[in-house]
Amino acid sequence: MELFNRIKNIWRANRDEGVQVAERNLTNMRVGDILSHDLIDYKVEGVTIYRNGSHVRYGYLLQSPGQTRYLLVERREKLRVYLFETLNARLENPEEINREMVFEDVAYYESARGESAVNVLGQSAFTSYDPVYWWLHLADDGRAMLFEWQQGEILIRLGVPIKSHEVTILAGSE
Amino acid sequence: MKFRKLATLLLAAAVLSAGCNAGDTAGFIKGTYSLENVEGQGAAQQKVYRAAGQTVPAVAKEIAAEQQPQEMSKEDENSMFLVYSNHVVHVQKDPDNAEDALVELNTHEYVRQHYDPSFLNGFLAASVISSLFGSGWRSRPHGGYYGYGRYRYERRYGTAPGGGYRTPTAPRGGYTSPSPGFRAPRSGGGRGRVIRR
Repeated sequence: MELFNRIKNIWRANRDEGVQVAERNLTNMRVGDILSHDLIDYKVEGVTIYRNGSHVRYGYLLQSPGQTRYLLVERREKLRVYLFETLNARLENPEEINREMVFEDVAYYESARGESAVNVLGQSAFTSYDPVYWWLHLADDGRAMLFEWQQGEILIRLGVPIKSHEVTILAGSE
Repeated sequence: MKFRKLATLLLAAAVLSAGCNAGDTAGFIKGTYSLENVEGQGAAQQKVYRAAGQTVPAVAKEIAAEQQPQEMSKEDENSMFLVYSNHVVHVQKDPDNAEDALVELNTHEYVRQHYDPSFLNGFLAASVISSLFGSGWRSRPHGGYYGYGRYRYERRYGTAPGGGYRTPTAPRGGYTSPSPGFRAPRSGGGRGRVIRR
């Protein structure tokens, strides 16, 4: 946490000196920015921009000491934000994503799916060359399971919805 | 004494100026166009920028006006190359969006490792290619790489862009992988399971 506190202090000191620091929100974070949620500071290590027609989603690979998270942000009628943990898990049937997917006795039901072109900056599981196929399943209690497939590899993420006002973002660069 | 100080100042200014010029092209491209993609690192790196709403010749001329390249390919609507001491700039029409140009900023090593020699032969003099990458490079087996835009297009849609870089009407249907050998999971009804490893 010491590192992040120092970065915060530098940022605040710069702000006091009148240095122009770009305002950040959940749809324009960059590699190096700091995001705080639930008393944990994360550094943005990678940005993935998903495009599907006019729909754009943003995935941020977040790193804090001891844990890695993936923040998915989607602007619909209002902002949808999920904080995911990537599971070390597999599909029982790797050839099919079913409408109902069960993980550790919790059922998740398909809510959305699609194919997106991706642009990647920094660290990511994806490359910019190939489309990503994805499925979002939701449990009755709001928990979410995200399946993402690209070039033979599937990522399975388990997450929770969070409110945009619950996060604080500090720009790591101008 | 005064002469020595003046000479030192002039020398410092010359060194500083040379240092700035070395990074002019990269700095100009970075400051002018929006970053689209980065591949590789260190000595073998490619950065791709988007010049929205601009043609390939217009962008190439804009970059050349900022810093004179050692070599520049002839005017072409689809692809133009500019050779600098540190970089090879490849300006190309975006196969996904014919209105835009893509600007590749490649280190020499990235080009040497990835580009198809026969493709570069069509744009740059053999002597230039040999001096950049060595005389044996032109005869190596080609890897079929013609630039970021075309590579991305082929990987996504499975075919080379048609004549005139037509914008595709739609991605390939269904949930099949664009590359043979890999197939994305299909969507199905019923119930499936996720198992922790």
